[in-house]
Amino acid sequence: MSLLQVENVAKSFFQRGNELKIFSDVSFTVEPGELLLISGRSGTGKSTLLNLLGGLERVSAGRIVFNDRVITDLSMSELAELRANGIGMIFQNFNLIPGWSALENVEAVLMHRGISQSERLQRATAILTELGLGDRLHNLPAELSVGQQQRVAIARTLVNDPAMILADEPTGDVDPETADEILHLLLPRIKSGRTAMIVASHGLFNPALATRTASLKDGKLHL
Amino acid sequence: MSDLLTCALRELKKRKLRTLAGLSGFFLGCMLITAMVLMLQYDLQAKNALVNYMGNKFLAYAPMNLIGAGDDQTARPLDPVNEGFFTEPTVVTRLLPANLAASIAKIPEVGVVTPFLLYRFKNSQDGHVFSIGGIRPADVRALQATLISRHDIISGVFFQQNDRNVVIVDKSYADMWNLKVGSVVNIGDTLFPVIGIAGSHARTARADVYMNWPDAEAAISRRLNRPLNNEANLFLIEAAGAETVAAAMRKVQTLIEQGITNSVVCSIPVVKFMGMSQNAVSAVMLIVAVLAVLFAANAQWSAASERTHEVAILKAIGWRDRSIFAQFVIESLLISLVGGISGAGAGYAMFRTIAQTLGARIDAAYQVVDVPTTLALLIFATALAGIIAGLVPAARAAATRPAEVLRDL
Ligand SMILES: Nc1ncnc2c1ncn2[C@@H]1O[C@H](COP(=O)(O)OP(=O)(O)OP(=O)(O)O)[C@@H](O)[C@H]1O
Ligand SMILES: [Mg+2]
Repeated sequence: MSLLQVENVAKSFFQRGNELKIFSDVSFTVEPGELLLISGRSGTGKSTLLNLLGGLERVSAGRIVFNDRVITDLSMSELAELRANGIGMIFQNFNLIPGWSALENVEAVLMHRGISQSERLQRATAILTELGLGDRLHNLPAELSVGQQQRVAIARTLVNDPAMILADEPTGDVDPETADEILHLLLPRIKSGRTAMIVASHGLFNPALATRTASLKDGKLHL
Repeated sequence: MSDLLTCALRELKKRKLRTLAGLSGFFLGCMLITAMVLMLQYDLQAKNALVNYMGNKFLAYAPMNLIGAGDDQTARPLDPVNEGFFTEPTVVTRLLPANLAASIAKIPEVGVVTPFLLYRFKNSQDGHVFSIGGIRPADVRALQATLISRHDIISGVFFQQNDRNVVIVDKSYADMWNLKVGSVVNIGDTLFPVIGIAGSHARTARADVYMNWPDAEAAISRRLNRPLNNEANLFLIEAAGAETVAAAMRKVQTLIEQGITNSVVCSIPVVKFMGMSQNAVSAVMLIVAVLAVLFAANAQWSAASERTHEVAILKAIGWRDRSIFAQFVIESLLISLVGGISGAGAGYAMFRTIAQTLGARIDAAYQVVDVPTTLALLIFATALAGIIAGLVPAARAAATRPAEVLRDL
């Protein structure tokens, strides 16, 4: 069994009664240790696809199986549980909570799950330190550079040791060197087979780093 | 649970202004209501005590219409100028069946009732007028509440049920005529030994000389030239409670043809105004409470809208709907609880200050108002209001759709 199986997934949005077809018949699989790059022009539905995989949106058709669970059949709270445990998302614009410090943003993932505060803080501190933010724990996102904010977002994803990371334009807004730095923080985890990663990018991501590439075009995924 | 608290406290600390606004809303609301409730309670208890002591007693009778027809000509006294069924110097009453007392007793608002025969005699020797009162010693409770009981005897004894041809004299009358236990009183040319002197205090009715019912009937019927056939001219009544006096009086009146009910103190206005101020203050409190909840709900609502982005992120990183919901409710609860506790404290201080400024006896207030229970109830109510105010905004926050919110950035 693959880590992730996407079977004939389609997604349409309905706006004022009009059906807006984004894509259909999308099928692919991802194994642990893989880095799948999904490229495509702006508006082709890359973010939408990642949202489906992360359970933030519902498919219009098809099936998604993750770790032997049919996630397209799960309830909203089971999906939330899945995001808290198995699937980490890095968003196109980081989506850090502006009023919360770096440490609090990372710690938030571990909240409401029976983990003691001391363990939460210890784990969050460890991962932030690992990503080079040991001296920025108590800064608010606005007090951090874009690259640092991105690292906080990555720390927030990694703190849970997810089996799959969904990264939307993870290197979109930083210079190529910073982007490389960030990726080199993630790559060892993937290479070791601890995790798989799906990256959505409209071109800035270095395809050489991916183990596989696919592109979204005209409503289809081309592998 | 501890996560909820940690997070809520963190959130409240971060949004100091909003927290302060929410707190002061609950604080002010709770303070005003607390002070009002305490004052109202104090006031009510004090009035109730007073009215229960004095104002829930009244008497019922039917006035004699001296000129009109239909009056009982057979009950005309031999000397109608000086003698008769006077209740007051100028009011003469008619005789009514004494067993009307049984019907009166059936009125739910009536506590106890006893018939009374009050008749004015003229002393045949010196011509002074005095009243005699025929009582039924068996009606112990009613007599004690409205007229006379063994507790009122300052010297001598109270009637036994079968005592005949003896009297008890009211202290003021005894003092005037220098009567003691063992003296005799001339009533209609018959001499009655005095067995007791009764102290005077505020009563529904009073007589100078009290007699056992059969003695009074005999003495009066001699002056009417007509036997008394189990008749009474007054009914002494105690209502079931201070609040029911008005209803009791009204209902008693309907039982007596052309009847009148009277009370010694002006309990009717007191009770009426009591009810009015009570209702008015209750209404004001209800309005304050509703406004406070609406205010708080509004504050929580805007807090929730302000935080949709944050909520969307939390849901995207795996927070469940119920965690979000609980988070918002807990925050609202914390604010209301702190506001409630400090507000109740301030309200209590306000009550004390006002009471002292007005010169009310605050120590007396403590006896009638259960302050700790009242404060605890008000704090509980405020916390409840906080929860209620938090529910809708919390439900809205929990229903946030992360994908939609996050793409709108
Ligand atoms: N909730 C929604 N309702 C209506 N239309 C939507 C919704 N979400 C996405 N779309 C539409 O779906 C299409 C794909 O959007 P999406 O954000 O997935 O594109 P993208 O490939 O990630 O683009 P970009 O590279 O600019 O991030 C767009 O045309 C967008 O307008
Ligand atoms: Mg996108």
